[in-house]
Amino acid sequence: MKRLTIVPYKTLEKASFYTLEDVDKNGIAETDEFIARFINDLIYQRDLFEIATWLNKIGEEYGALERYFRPESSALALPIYKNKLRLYCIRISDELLILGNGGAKTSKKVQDSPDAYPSFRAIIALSKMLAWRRRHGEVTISNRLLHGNLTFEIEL
Amino acid sequence: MSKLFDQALTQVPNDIKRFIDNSFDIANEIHSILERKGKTQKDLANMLGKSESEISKWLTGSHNFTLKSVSKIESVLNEKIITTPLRSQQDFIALAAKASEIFRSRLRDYSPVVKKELHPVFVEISNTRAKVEGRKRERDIVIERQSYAMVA
Repeated sequence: MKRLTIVPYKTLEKASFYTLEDVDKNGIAETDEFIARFINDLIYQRDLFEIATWLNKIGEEYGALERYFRPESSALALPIYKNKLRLYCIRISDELLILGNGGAKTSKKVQDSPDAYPSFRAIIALSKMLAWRRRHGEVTISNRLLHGNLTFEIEL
Repeated sequence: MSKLFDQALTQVPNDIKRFIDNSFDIANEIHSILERKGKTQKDLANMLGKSESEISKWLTGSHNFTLKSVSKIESVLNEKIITTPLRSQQDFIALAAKASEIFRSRLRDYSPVVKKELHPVFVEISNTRAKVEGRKRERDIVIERQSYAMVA
C-alpha cells in the first residue's frame, strides 16, 4: 500500500505541473526522486535532460496540448521516444499535467522493465482513482488548480 | 516548487535544447500546414504509407526527423517545412525587390508624404540586399538608391 498526494510542482506560462508525494516518505516529490536518480548518471543523464527540456518547452510555450501526447489513454509516459527513460504522467487539460515517477525502460514491454514498472502501475492506478473522483465531483479543477481530496491509497 | 527540475534545466547541453526546439518547430509546421489544408494526421499517414500512430509520434515535439523524412513530407504536402537563415534572407530580398520595382514604377501614384515615409524602408531593403548579395550587384544597388534619393 502506498499513500500518494497530488501537490503543485511547477507553474509555467502555459501549463502548471503537479507531482505526487509519498506521504510516508517525508514528502519527497516523486518527480524529484526520478530526477535525482538520473541527473548524475552518465548512462541516462542526456535522456533525463531531453525529458526536462521537453517538459519545460510545453510548460513555457505551448501548453500540454493533446496532440503532443498519445490520445488513447489518460495515464501515459511522456512522449519522448527513443529515450531510455520513462516519466509517467496524467494529462488533465492543456494547462494541467500531473507528473509521476519513472525509471529506465530496459525492455519492449514495460512489464518487463523492473525499474519503470512500479511507477507505471502507480500512475495507472492513481489515474483511475482520480478519474472516479472527478466524475463524482470529489475533485474539481479551476484556474489550473486541483481542489478536493488529493490523497490516494494505492495497492502495489 | 521544484528546485531539482530547475537545476536539471540549467545543466541541459545546448544541443539538446536545440534538438527539442527544432523538433517542436517541425512538428508545429506540419500541424499548421495540415490544418490550413483541411487535412488530418490520418491523411498524412495515408499519403506517406505510414500508420497514423507513427505520424502521431512524429508530431510530439521529440521526434528526430531525418532530412529524408522531412523531404518526403514536404513532397506529399507540396509545401516547404524547413528553411535556413540564408534561404529566408534570399526569399525576403526577392520579395522586397519586387515591392521596390512596383514602388518605382508607380512613383506618380504616391503622394509626397507617402514617398517620404517609404524612402527609409527602401533604403533599408537596399542595404540588406547589399549585405547579402555583396559586390556583384553593387552597381544596381547604387542606381536603386539614387532613384529613391530622387523620390525623397
